[in-house]
Amino acid sequence: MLQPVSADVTRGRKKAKIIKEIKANAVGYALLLPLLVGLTVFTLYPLIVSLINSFYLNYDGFAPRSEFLFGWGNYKRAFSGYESTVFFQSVKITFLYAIVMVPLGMVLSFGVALLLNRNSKSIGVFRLIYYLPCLIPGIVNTIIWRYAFNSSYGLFNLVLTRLGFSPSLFFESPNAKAVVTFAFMNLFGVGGSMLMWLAGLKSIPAAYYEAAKIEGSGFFRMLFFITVPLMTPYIFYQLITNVIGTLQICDAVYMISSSGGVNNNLLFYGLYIFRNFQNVNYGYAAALAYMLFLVIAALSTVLFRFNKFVYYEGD
Amino acid sequence: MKKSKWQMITCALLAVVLGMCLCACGGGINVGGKNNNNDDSTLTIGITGDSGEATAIDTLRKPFENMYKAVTGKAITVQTVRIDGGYISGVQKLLNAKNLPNIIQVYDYASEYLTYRKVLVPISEYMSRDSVSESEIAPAVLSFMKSGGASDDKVYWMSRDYNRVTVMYNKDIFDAAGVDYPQNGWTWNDFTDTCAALKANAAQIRAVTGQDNFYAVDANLNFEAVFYPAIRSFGGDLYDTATGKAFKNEAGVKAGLTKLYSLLQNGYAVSPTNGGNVFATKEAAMYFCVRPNIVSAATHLKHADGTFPIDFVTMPSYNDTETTYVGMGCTGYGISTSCPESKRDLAWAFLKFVASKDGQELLSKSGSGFPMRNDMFNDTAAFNDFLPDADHSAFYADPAGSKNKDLAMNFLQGFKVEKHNAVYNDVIKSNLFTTLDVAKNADSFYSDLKARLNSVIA
Repeated sequence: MLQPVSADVTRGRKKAKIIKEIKANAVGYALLLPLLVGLTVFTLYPLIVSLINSFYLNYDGFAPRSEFLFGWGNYKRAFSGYESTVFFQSVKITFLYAIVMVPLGMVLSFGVALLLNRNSKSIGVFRLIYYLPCLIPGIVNTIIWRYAFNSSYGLFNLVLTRLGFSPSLFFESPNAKAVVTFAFMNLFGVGGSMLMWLAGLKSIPAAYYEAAKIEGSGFFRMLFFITVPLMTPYIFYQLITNVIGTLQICDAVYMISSSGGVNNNLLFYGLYIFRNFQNVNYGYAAALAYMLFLVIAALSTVLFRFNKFVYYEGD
Repeated sequence: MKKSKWQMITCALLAVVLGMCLCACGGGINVGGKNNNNDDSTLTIGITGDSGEATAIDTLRKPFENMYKAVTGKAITVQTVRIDGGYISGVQKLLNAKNLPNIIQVYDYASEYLTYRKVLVPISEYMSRDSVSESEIAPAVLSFMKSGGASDDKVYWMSRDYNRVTVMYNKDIFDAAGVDYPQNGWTWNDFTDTCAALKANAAQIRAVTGQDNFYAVDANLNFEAVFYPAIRSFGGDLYDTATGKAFKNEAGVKAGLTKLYSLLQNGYAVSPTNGGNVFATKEAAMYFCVRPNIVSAATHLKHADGTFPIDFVTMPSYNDTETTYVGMGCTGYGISTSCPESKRDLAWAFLKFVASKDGQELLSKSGSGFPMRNDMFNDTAAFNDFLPDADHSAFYADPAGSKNKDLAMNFLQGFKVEKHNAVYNDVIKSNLFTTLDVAKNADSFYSDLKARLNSVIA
């Protein structure tokens, strides 16, 4: 008759099994160790520390945390007093920009990729021309545009005045015109996305198009019933990454106006966070960053629901 | 399973690389040298990332090392530690890492905050021990050096210069317009009359300069050393320390800003968003500037024969106020609280050298700034010889009987110093005059500004 195994024996067997598994995979774990240590030290630890900082009202790093009030103060600060005006303005600018630029950028870059998806001798030159802006360092690119849009001596106002129009303030406009100018500037960076679309378009078997042509399908029919459905994995990827990237914009707008522009008209949310870090408002900046993190996480969750419309080969 | 030797070697190499990477973490923001904060033969000085600051220290480094060796017989090395990016946050990080240099640069706007945050060691005792008298130092500069976030009347750092707002003007443009040069001690009415005369002759001026635009003055309206003294001259202040609320004497605040705004309304001044370069490009005849601005402007305007068409006058006095405040600022160095006790005398020796006649002469001749010692104001040999034909007296003196009085830019004056950066960066430095211009100086601008100030000092 079998005797019941005691709990100690069971635990001992499990422990031995774990040790045996670790020993068997020691090399693998050792190879993973640098990455794990790096992730812990440079990602996880700062995440935890900044989360803690976000609960200390006006924490500035100079004094120990115990000197600051613990609570939701930093989070409430975004919704109270004058700070709420700035907060909501930065949210409005960022979200409106994302709502307009994400689809516009995707459609534009997809359109360019469609145009360049052909076999001809000189097509490589055109692909290079469209990709060239992406090769220029972002900071340099932004500075060039900043000077081009300068209201006093910029190239665009020079052309406008020569054509008889009145000059524009562009980035110095106290209203949405500054954001529109910024959006226009960024449209010239479609080359990066274009490459990805091209890769996707190249992966679509030509047999589908041949069959469609035989059946009398025109360009748009093929586009909407063959190309777009088969490109859905790329569309999905671009959508997620562009939404996240647009909501986090900071460096480009910092180069245009580090203070956030006239009347905070260029105060994107990322710049708003950075400005508070610069002012050693670490607690409040951490709270703002975590609020953005939660919004991006929520948006990503919603967007992932559209995954069911994505066609994956092999499904 | 037979373990692969290559896998183990790879693991070992990766571990070594990781260890090396982690070893590089933390530590000081040292440029070009190991951390010598505790080394008795090295004096470390933290400075901002501005290349001009490195130049200023280089001017003092060798002479100080030689002087110290000659006096004490001990060889020491002065090592610069550059703190890039946000200076205050850089200082804070080094302080928390217990790696702050022995001496750190202190600039006027940050002095209250750094002292409040106990980053600086008071030097009053050293000064009285070594007979460095407060009376040797320009009064406005001394008020900065004492801006400790508390009224303990102690000196916390040593300034190396004295920067006063003056009017720089282009003589060629005045000659082209046939307008008399401005004179020290002129009034606001004299100034606006000059602006009107220049504007009336804009066509002749543009014919000479070859520029499409011309403005009588680049009044540097977004510069806090220009607009804050205007507010104070009319009896206002950005906030009231007694009540803890924004705007002491709101009428005074409005009067001061409106006075400057009139320059835009009358078409005398360039828009605040487009200022800064127009004087150097001959699009403006005058420029409200400080000493560090003159080098770039003079370089652009230099004649082919090597002469410069530049001269200086005092800021005009307001006709309708009892006092006209003139903005001034300074920068210098302080002993950090992280400096070991055994090195504080060495650190003080450096500060004493900065404040000495020798040190001040070295700094001013290099073009880094104007001396802050009272007894050097009339010593023209002490100034840099960059513009030998110009009258530099506007940088340190007003004519007898003038209403002009220096105003140090310590806005908070001890009140709510922990809010310093938010007030300074978010409110004062955020293109205040541009916003005023956009709002056309309407009451809505003032109510908005008041709300912002109240929000950040709450």
